[in-house]
Amino acid sequence: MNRSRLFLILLVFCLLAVDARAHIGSPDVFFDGKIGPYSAKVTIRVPPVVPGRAEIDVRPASDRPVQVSILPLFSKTSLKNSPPPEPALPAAEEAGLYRGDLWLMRSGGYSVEVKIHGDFGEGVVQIPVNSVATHQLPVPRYLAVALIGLAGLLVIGGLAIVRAAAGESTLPPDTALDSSHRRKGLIAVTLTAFLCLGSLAGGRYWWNAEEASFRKHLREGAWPDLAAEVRTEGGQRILHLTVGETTFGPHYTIPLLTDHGKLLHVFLIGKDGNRSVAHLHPIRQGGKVFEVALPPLPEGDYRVFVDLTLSDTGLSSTTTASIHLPPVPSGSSPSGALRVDPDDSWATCTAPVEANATDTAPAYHFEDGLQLLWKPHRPLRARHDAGLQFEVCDAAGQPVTLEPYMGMISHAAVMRADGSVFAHLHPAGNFSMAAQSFFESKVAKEDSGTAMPLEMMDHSKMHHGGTMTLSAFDLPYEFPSAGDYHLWVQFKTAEQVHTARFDVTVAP
Amino acid sequence: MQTSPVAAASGIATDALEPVPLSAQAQRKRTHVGFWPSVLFALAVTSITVGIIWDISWHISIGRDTFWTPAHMAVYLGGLLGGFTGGWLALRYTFFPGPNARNESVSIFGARAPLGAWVTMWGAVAMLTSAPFDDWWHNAYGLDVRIISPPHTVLGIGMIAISVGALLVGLAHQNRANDRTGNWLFTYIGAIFVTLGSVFSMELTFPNLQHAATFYEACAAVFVLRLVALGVAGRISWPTTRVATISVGIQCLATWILPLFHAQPKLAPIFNPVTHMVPPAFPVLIIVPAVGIDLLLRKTHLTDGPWKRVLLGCILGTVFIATFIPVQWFLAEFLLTPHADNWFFAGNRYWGYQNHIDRIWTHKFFRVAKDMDGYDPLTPRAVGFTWLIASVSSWLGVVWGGWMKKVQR
Repeated sequence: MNRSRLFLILLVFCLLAVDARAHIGSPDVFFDGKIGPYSAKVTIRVPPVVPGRAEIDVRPASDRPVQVSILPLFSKTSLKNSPPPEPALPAAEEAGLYRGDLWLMRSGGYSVEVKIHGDFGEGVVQIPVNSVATHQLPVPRYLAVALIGLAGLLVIGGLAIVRAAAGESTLPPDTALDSSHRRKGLIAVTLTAFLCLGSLAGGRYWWNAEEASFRKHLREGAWPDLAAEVRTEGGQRILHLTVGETTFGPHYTIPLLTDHGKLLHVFLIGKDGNRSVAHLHPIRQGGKVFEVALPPLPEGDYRVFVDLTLSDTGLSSTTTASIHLPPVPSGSSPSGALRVDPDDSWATCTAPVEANATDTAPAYHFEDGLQLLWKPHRPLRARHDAGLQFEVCDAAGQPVTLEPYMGMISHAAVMRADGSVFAHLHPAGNFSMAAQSFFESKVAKEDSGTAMPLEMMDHSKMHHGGTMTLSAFDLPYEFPSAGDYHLWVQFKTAEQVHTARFDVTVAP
Repeated sequence: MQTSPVAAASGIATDALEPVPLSAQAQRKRTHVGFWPSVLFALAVTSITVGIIWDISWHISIGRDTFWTPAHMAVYLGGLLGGFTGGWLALRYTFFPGPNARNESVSIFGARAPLGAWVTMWGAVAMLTSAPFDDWWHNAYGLDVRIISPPHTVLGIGMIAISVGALLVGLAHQNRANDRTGNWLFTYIGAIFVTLGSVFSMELTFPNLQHAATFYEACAAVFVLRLVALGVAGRISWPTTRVATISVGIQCLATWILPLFHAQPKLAPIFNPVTHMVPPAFPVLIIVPAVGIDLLLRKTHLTDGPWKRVLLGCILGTVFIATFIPVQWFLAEFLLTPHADNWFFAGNRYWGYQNHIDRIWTHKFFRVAKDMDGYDPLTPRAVGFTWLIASVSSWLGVVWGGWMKKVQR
């Protein structure tokens, strides 16, 4: 590495060329689970720019006062070089809420270490966050007016000062301003006006260069690039995915962590009235090439969302593409050219439930008599707790025992109707479990001096969420913006994965 | 009507060095009028300079800050003190004019104040403008934790304007009264003016960059204009040398004092776990070219004609590169040796918490090999370009200094 360049980069704290983001259009991170002996919910509002300040809300389910601290851990530095933890202090506006903030100084993978200390001892949890620039705030109108006004004052005042400097200021005592000095003043003002124009032009050029540099690192949408195509082979429709060909180059092997035991989680979501959805797990065929045998989804156009977690930084990301599925091959049965992952699931939700009424518990009814009840909740508002609390019952209304599906009691996907928002949810939160394992392994390794295999930290066998019972579960989440959303909720019972769909409208 | 020899002179007349004859009473009155504003302005620019050096150190030592950090308070205090002192002078000269008010002030949109007071008020408004601009910049592009950024440039221009305004108030007083109090104020404020230039060019003047052409070009642009202008305007002996010496002394104090205070980084990632406030690097030795500039200005009469001033600028540019380049070249070599790793030269102490510390590269020059990014060696062509910058800066300094020497109000 060129050290001098590195030095300058570090000196001015420039952004590193590492860009990724969890989900699409939904950067905030939500945790719900155990922090040692304490049940707690954590909300991390990730800054839209880097360096930026993350706001962290911790809500321990404890009647007794506790001490809460938060600490940012960067994926590429040693823990022994960590800064001291910051306290999260009780917030005046809500009992039991502890609030703090942390600066995320670099682009890359961070973990927010939340520690709770109280009467029952101490608990720690790692919550991974992606530190990337996701959008740019426009100049508020009042600020633009104020800045233009101040700039005008500076220019006009500056010209007046120059006029006085070139004219009156050098007059000896008791001497009146004569035409010679007036002329000097006017000449100086004219020259300064041109200088001002030149400075403004230079400033504009500089600002544009800064803007271009910022936009180079900005990831407002999905990342990295994704190419998707479908071919029919041996009676199977094969989805062929190439991840990051443009971003990483043709000869790069994308380093991935397994999340719930899978390298990629792919969601296929039907477009234009097609209510089919699939949750698939492709197999790596090359450095950045993955394939999966498609289930019998009907022909049509589909959105493809791919969740991945990088193994070198713990960054998680979602990439997206669109495909057209040909008809299901008829005639001969599939020859099994490509192994089908046993955790692949799919469904066609012919009767999605409109779940905007808040006084009743909307229920999605399955063909086998099961029903998924969305417990009564407050009206859905952007950036407010969505109250995603569900219970699975049989036809008689009796709770049904759930089984882990890839280690979780539930998986869910949220998509804004226009596709601009996508998030993959679990009862433990909406962050990448693989990224959490990455940081837990890093902490364990540096604490003990020996590496803990990531397999041991595999959350496919650990996470069941914080408040779930055998038939009920919560999905901690806040819709990031107003609009129409689709919500798919998956659970497993009697070795059968069920997928329900709710359609909701979120108010501003 | 009384006509001053200063006004009669075109360009910079040598007889302008003579004080304007004044009655003892008037002289005492004018000394009184100019003294306290100059002292307040000197305090303002001192507060700004201490604050900005402290703030930069804070950002590379601790990182996490708030609006209310002591370093920020020092900067704001300096800006407010400069702006309000200027405003107070404007109110006083506009609404409560004394018998000599017109001789000590200029008119801007009907209000009257000494020219320097207007410039300090302008600087305070620029600093005020930079605050919301910087705040929005943080939200739009991320925290600009670097010295050279658009909002920081507005802030820097405001700070420098306050120092120039303070200088002008002192100079106008000095030009009118020619008393000794004005001399030390001029020297001190001039040193602050040079120091602020040094602070804002800090990212380009690290010891590791001091064999690259950019360093010499930056120094020619930043220091020569200031030193020559002050050398021409100064009414004391060896003005440039005095100013440069005090400026280097101020920077040395920062280099020596800051590490005495404990500090712990509070932002991640931390690549260099510093345990003390990180100081600026050992200052650039501008004293040597300052001596050369003073010697030349003492011997020459080339300031009294436009083409002579151009010639003088070229000669001063030559003096600068002939004295500055060899001295700084070898000083830089020394600063990168282990012999400079001590409290005096601070060779191993100016790396912030986000710098990867590695002797292999912290003790070598940047941009001097072809395989380095920003390859920028000091070639003969680069020396020529540096000379051009230094000469143009010198010419501007001669013109500006000549004007400052004539400022009366």
